[in-house]
Amino acid sequence: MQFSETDQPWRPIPEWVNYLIQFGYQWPAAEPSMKRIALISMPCDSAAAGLITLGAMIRDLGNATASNVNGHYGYLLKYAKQFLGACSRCDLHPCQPEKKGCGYVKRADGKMRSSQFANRSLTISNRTDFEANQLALEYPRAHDGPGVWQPSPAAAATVHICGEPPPVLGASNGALAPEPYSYLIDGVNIQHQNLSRSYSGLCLAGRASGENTSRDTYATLRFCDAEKTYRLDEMLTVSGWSGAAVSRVLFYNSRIEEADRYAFSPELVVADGDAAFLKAAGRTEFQHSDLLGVIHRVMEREKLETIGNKMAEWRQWYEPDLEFEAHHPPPYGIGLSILKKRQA
Amino acid sequence: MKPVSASRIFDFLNYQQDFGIERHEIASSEFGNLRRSLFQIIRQLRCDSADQETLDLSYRLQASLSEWLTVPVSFHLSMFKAATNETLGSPDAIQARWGVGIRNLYNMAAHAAENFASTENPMRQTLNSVIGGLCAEGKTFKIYCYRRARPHFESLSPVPLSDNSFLHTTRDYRETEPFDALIKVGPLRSRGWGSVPDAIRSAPRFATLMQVVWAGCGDETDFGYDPVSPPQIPSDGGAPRDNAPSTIRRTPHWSTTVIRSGEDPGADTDYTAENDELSVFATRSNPPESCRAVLLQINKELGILYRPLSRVLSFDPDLNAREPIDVRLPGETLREGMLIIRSVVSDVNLGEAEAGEGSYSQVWKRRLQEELHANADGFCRLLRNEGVNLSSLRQCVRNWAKPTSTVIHAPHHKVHFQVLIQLLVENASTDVHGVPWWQTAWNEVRRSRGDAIKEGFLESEIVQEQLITLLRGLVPQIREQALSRPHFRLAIPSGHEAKGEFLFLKVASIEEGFTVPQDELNNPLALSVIDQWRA
Repeated sequence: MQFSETDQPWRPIPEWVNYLIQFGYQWPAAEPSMKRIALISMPCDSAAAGLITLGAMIRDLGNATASNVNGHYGYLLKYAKQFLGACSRCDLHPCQPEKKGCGYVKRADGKMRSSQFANRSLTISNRTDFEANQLALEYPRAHDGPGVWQPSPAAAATVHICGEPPPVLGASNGALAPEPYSYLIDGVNIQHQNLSRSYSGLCLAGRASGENTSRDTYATLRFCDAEKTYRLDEMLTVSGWSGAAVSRVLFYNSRIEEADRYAFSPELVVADGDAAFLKAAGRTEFQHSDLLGVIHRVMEREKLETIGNKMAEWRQWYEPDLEFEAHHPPPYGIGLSILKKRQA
Repeated sequence: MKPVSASRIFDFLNYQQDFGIERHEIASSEFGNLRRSLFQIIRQLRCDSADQETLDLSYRLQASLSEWLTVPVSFHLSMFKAATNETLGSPDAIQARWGVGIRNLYNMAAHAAENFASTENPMRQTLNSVIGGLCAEGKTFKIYCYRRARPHFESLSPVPLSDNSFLHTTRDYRETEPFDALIKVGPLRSRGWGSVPDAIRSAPRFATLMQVVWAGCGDETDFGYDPVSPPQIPSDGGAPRDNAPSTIRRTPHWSTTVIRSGEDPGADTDYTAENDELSVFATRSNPPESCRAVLLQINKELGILYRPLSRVLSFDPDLNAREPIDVRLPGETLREGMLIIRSVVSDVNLGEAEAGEGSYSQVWKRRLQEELHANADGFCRLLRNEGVNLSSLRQCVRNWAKPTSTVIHAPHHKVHFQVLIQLLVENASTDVHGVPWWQTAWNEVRRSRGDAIKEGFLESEIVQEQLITLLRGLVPQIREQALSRPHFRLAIPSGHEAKGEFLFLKVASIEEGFTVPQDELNNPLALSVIDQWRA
């Protein structure tokens, strides 16, 4: 693979890029009682967070269990419960969960789609039976009013919430190509079924300046093989950033503090920038996630100290993860500190 | 300017590996006597029993001394007089107010200033030689300084200096390509006068730092701070450790060469932090109601201070801007060259103030100038007695008396303005078109500042969104106006629910590193007033 940044000539993948992809790839799988926090400091503004996320995404492509298929039916039921129990009755527009105090993070508008209904819009029916774990969806009919469909858990795999990626593609059309990913990491064993499945266990918390800025930054990095060119922002498969029908990375917009999925509890959060790192650290949804912050050092002392103080605060409950650090020493110019939760 | 690519920076770091500091340390007995005398005056003015006004004067002196220590000024006696006489008064007045001790110190300072002004500032000579040397070697260099300090460098350089020769902000540094040498006057400090980003040390984009500094001005011990390896405070009182055990930091290796010139027999032979003016000034305790702020300079005299994460309504004149009208973060998404938009929205009658530009201010400013000319101290006392308990009151009052420029200089608070007008203008409470005179004059001030006239009106997010929508419909007109003028007003077209106008102010520069009383945020202020809050 060759690499280019900001339309510069193609060159072999530089050490810093390779290190960051490998860092994400080698990041240990989440353990329930072993939360880790890492801080990487770069000598300049860069797309480092995107590269680490790319590495972690490739790691997850090799993990057969890393998909949204398991638990999808429960996810839809949870969404239905929010819609019927709260959002359909809420008169606060625009949606402001924090003001409302409802405990949710994003409005559920009750709309779903299914490949079985040619992707027509379905609406959650009030005939949904939560005690019996039976989801009911209304679909439009030409006559006799809307029909009601009660999908089984297996059939519900074709259903997804409007605006979110489907958990699994109905056919292989639109599946991700393995090539750019498998070319970046030697010996990676990509699980082919994952190429047509979405995943919400990996989160990229974008820059505080917004989604567009984040995406523009990642778009400056490109890879190419003998046949094709791949832009980093598209490789990340964030919903809406590429033509991919599935999404393997959940995007958390740090500016508006909203994720692109209505409920989330990822295993790993990669935060781009100091503000995103601090915001992610404070989110309830990320309290059990590993947190990896990427900052650059060319900023004001106050901001640097705010991050430094946060790390110092964590050191009360966390200890240095010297082993991981020793196995992944960063190249010249990159600073790294990893903490892992102290064991009782 | 687009940020430099990360690959370019890593290539540079891999190529360079070792970095050097050439520290030119300058001593001068004349300047040494001047700074020590002023430093003693400042310290003595800050005794426990000092009143607010005395403290304010000490901060003004501090600002002058700090500037002389960190900027290569071409020193004239008039600068000393401006810094001392206008602040402290005549020698007799000094003695009468603060005693013979401070008068003696003042006399020593005045004598030293006279001697120092008769020769070329050695700091300028050194800089001239440093720049000449770099040019002779064909090296690319940049100078890191405040924008306002730039003319002092331009006036001494043996070669013409372009925009490309200067770095003024952290963002400038972030966006620059690697170069050969960085020139910095003054110690390496992350806060206060002459501050520079820690990245100069922790993420260099140059091979050599050419530091020109007065002897006795020390660098911050933790300069080059990186949060992955914050300095550890040693329990044994020894030197701070550079790295915490839990971190891996492949940071640049620096070697320092010190080149000393000049002599200052009166100086301590060893460096002590308690005699280092900038180090002592940095420990100034800020009042609890103060906060960090970013300065958006809008012309040569005025700036507005915002909290660092304020969302400021602004216009981006860049034709490629995705959304020209938006709320932006100062220094982050709100950048130099953009225009701050202040909305003068009202559903109340502004009375005469809508018609005449500054007609009321001409009356009260003329009266204020008369009062200051007759007895400035007495007038300030009157204001204090009436409850105008501002820090730097004397300086504020002088600022209020200045003629109207982009804005009408006036108190920020309505109650202070009312007191001021009632002291200056007979019949200040008499109605003009149904509104008291002082109130109409106040509306005129607020209109000039771009304040929302109706209290709390703009606090409604819905209203703000409506204004943004309205402004987005005016982009062609705004763009046209912005091409020809840095500051302008645009009336809200009729037919809209909101009435009034928008005030557009072009951002000339953005500077961080201020600690400011919260009351002073979001209002146009004189830069000379703002200088005292560099922290």
